[in-house]
Amino acid sequence: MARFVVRRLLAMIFVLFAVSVLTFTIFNVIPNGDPAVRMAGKQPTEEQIEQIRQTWSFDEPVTTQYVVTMKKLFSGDMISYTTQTDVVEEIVKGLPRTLSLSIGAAILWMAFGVGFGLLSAMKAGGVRDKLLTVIALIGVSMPVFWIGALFNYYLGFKLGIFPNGGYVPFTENPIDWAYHLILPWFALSILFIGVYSRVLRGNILDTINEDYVRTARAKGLSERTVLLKHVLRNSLIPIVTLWGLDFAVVIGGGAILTETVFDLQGVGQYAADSIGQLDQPPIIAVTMFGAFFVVIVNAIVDIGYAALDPRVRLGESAG
Amino acid sequence: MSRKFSGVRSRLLAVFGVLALAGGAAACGSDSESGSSDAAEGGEITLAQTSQPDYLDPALSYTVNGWEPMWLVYTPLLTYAHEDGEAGAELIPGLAEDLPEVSEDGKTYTFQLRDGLKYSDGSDVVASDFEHTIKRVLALESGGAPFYQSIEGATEYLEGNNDDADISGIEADDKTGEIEITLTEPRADFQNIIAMNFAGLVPGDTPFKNLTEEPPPGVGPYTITESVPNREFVMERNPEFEALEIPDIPLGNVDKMTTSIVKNQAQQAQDVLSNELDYMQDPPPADIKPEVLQTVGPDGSEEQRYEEHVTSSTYYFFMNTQVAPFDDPLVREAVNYGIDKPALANLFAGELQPGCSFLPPGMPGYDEEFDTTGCPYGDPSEPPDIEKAQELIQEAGVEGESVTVYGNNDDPTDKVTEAYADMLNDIGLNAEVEILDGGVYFQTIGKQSEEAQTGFANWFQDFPHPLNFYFLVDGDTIQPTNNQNFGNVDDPEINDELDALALETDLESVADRWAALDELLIAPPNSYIAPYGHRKLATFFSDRMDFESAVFSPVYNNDYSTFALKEGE
Repeated sequence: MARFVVRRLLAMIFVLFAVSVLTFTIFNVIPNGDPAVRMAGKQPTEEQIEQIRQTWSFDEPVTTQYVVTMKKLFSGDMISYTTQTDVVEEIVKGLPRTLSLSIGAAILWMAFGVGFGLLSAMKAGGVRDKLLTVIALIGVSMPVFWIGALFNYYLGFKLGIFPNGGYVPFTENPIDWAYHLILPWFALSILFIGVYSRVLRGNILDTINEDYVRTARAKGLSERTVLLKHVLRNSLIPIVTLWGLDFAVVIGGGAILTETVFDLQGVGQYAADSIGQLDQPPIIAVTMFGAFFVVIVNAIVDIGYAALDPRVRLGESAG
Repeated sequence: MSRKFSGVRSRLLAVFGVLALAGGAAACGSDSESGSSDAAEGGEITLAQTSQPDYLDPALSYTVNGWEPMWLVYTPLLTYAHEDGEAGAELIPGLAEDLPEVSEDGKTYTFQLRDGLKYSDGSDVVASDFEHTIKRVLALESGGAPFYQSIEGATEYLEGNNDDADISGIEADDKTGEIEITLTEPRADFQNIIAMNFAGLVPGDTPFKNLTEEPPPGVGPYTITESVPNREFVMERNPEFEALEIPDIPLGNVDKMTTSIVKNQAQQAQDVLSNELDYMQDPPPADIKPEVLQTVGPDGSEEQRYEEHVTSSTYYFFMNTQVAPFDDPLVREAVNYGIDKPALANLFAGELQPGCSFLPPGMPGYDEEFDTTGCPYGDPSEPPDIEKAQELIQEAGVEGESVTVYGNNDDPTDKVTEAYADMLNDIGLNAEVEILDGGVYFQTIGKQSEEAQTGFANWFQDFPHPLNFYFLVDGDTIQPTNNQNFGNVDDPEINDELDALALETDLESVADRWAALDELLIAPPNSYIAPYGHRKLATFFSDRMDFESAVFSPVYNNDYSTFALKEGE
């Protein structure tokens, strides 16, 4: 088991390294993306540009620049080329916003996804199932930027029921915090609710005729007990795995559109702004941040699986 | 400053010079001391910018997002009158007692610092703070550094990499308050350069680092009391300023202004409409503008909340005079005839005033007739003369010749570029579009090896002096990379006249010569560039604000020191 964990951790480090190299390389091959020129202002002299190149090590070989960049990232000294603000500090400032959005939305999509999936499966083929299927498909089909804009315009601006975007820190006022996040939570979770309810419905219908379920019924257990204790519990296993990965993806950048539409100014929006400015340090830092979350959750899921199912571990060893 | 319009992305950015439209100036008022009967003293207001100011450090900021607020926090030796329209382009003494004495050779400027000046932290202002202020601009590799390299010893200071070294061309006497600046050569726009925000005085012990998060003290009606980059910054009345009794610089009306960074412009506009926000710096986006126009009151009314102003900016297409087919004056002339200026204005949601001149409204030398009905290519508000353009293309023998049109992906530049290519096709060329990322666009077309044939260009003034526009077409500024003279305009007659005008410090007396130069640049047979208009900007307030008090500076845009709440708000 220890070997498996070590191997997973090494793989994680390799993935993060590959992500950093790719991101750095992409930025450096963009035509005419000389950051010194962009930093030098509107009417720069050649001397001034040269001085900036020296100050920021832009005149060093690309490999040296990569090493310098990584050192700065891990020592917390990374500075934005555009605003010259501390990149790690900006991510830390945005993280509570991104986590507030992601955690709330993840709870919502899990709760509603499971609820709708269960309701659908219980009367599969019935009117309720068909209705929930249509609702789920609509949810899956609506892009978050569109539903977010609709929420903002009608529920925020026109009717004034909810705030028109913005964010209030939890520490400042928990009620206002939740009030400002209700629309973003729903906007972000609608897609996932649709997906999760359909996946869970399918899992339940696959499980419902398994031998152990039939045995449970034969033992005289109530349909409710059978459904909740035997069918749902087993059907939820892949859903929980999916939830973990989706949650990591949302934190790692999947919430860019939601953050932008509702002006939450979390890590995702910081990434979007940095990409718009071709500002390499925050792009690399946010990419690494996102990759870290995805990879770490993936590794935890793999390790958890290995602990639960020896076949996974054996399979890895055999491979 | 960047040529991009901050509202569209924001991000790269521009300092706008703004001129009240003739009809709008009266409505906007010029009562800089809030003489409006409806205006209240005090109170707090909330403002919004779409993107964080590049810096909240006067040595570094080079965008409208930074300059508009910091004008009221850091006063240079000279500054501009807090007035609408042309009056607002007048240089007035700031921290200096008077305008400078200039030596006969035009190289030495002597200023006398006012007595008893204090920074917002209560410390005394001394003459040597000026040298420290300029040293910070140079040492921090500010975008403004090139402006001050005309001071003797500034380049040596920059190259010496020693923050504590002396700039030989600046002599400051702390006892007498005299500041003497010697230039390497005469420069007619030097007083404008002294009035730039970069030269807003800061204490002599201000560190040589970006102080955006803890802006240094300054001398001005307001001081920045809180700054959280990418979130918000707060300006409050400077408690020391009133006692200084500096004439012609208003004390301000409101007590506190909180500027939030709200990246969603539609949300900003909605919040202004619902009075959740008192002012947004960018114009409302096109999709919500009709709703804004329906809601705000009519011009001149008590309910007025919105007004558009023409900025000191020019949008034009460059044509590379060193590359075929634009090395032929007939082709350049044809392009000028073929541009549909009203159609291009529509792409800016009407926030572009069609025009023909390179010098923008409000700039000395601007000829309104030449820019409108007297345009040699026809009235810019009318459809183009396509037939004439086609004839010229045929005469030049370049019909069907391939042309690559450069533009960037900022909104609406991409659409403007596409439209321009269509217009070139209409007159007989075979144009295709090359859209680059906004972050690298000007670097790319400014590289000679790219041989960019033609494309989008614009300029917003740094200060109200024609030289700040004409370096863009000065043959002496052509360089292999980072070239700003995108069309490689190199006309000996223009170059010589620019050299001569660069020595003329009395702008009014040479305004006609600037106007003649504009005609020489634009009219046939040269037709070196193809201007098509001047950008507009808006004042858009909540219903809580007193619209009449507000002043629109031609240099710094909305003048926050004239913002006031209505009585009872």
